[in-house]
Amino acid sequence: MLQLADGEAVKSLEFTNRVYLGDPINIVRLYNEMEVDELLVIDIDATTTGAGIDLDLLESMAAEAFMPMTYGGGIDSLQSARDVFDLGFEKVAIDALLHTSPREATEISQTYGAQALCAVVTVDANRSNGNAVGPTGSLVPLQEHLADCLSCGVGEIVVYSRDRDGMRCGYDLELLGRVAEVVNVPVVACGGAGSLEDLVAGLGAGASAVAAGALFSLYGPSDSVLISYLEEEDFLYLASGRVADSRHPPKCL
Amino acid sequence: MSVAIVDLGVGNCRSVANMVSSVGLDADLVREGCDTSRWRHIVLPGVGSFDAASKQLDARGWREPLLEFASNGVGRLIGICLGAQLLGRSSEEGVLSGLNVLPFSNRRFAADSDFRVPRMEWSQLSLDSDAPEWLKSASEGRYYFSHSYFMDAPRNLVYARTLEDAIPAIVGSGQILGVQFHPEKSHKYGRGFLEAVLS
Repeated sequence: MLQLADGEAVKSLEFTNRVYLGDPINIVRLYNEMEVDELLVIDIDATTTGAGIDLDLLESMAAEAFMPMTYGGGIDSLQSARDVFDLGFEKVAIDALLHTSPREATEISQTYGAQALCAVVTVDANRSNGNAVGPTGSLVPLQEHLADCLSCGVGEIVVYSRDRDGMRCGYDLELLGRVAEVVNVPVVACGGAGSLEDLVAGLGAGASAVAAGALFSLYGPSDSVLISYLEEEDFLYLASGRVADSRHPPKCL
Repeated sequence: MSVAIVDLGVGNCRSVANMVSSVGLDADLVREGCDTSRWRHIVLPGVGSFDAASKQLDARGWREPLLEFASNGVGRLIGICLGAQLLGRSSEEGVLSGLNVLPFSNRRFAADSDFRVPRMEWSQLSLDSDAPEWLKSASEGRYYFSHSYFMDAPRNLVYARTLEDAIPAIVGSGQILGVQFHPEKSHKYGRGFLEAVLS
């Protein structure tokens, strides 16, 4: 996962502090060279500040990537999704829109297909009591929100444990298992990955794919910036550690 | 040598153009159907709903020029993802017609498939024994797939399937080729594939 804020690449920690990573275009170029499976680009300020989507920046980023790219942050209509798809992104990720305007979300799915629409379902173990967090902090029962996402034609659910964001303490495996049980679309684990073992555990808990931000961008006790990815032997380890089958690849998100 | 990339306004022809350029060819993004004689090959990308794309084939005047290009059989007509599905008759996803230049229809993955749908995977391929030679070396990598519907093509049209699920990955006949995966999103493997297909 690559986060953007004000045109820069950042890594948020517990969604409050931010570590500056560098030029996002250059970082995409590096991840492309490392042949990452997929890049999830999230502009963490676009919705809250109303700044809108930085299409010029996204265009430059998409031009560097020969891998699937997903964008989230400020997608509030079919048109804004179209603008992003036209730049070369495969999918758009939405969160707030599902709460505020499910009809718009449905339009995106109907036009571009379920595989182009990804829902980020945010849970905060410290604050949301197992509910999904909506914009402005409102809480919706998780099962209800998941059902709403599927009714809108969402093709993928990213389970985002906001409290584990940047913490590298492992995914919320129990939460992942619950979501994977309830929905029939691919589930992506996000928030908390700190090691290869965490990725294996995420896949074993029922995730179809595993996302990591800090694991692939920070290193060492002082959180130095280091853009990295998995090696060939890591993929073999991931495949061997799978409880289910070994087909599904991890995603560098 | 130049390649036309058909722009139906249903996502992602930009990435295809970028990759075609990166193999050293001129890639022209073309919105409206027109005389296709200036291009050696035509690529038809597509993302999204079958009916939305079929409507645009007509709205942008592409149906006739593509049918003519396909029947001339001089250059290659390559469909990618939804573009590949559009080479067929129809799709369970919609009610409108594809180009029908290859005799197959598109079906939705069964709910009890071994994988979750939409199927979003990086897969290796298993080639059919009578796949053309040039295709064999170009299909040794892993490729990105992202779809809920698949090309339900008869055996004689299928050149390659996914290794683990036997889902039709490459179909074709003569100069017409449909690939379910996204070469433009499959790193060097996709680039190698496009380079071989467009040479």
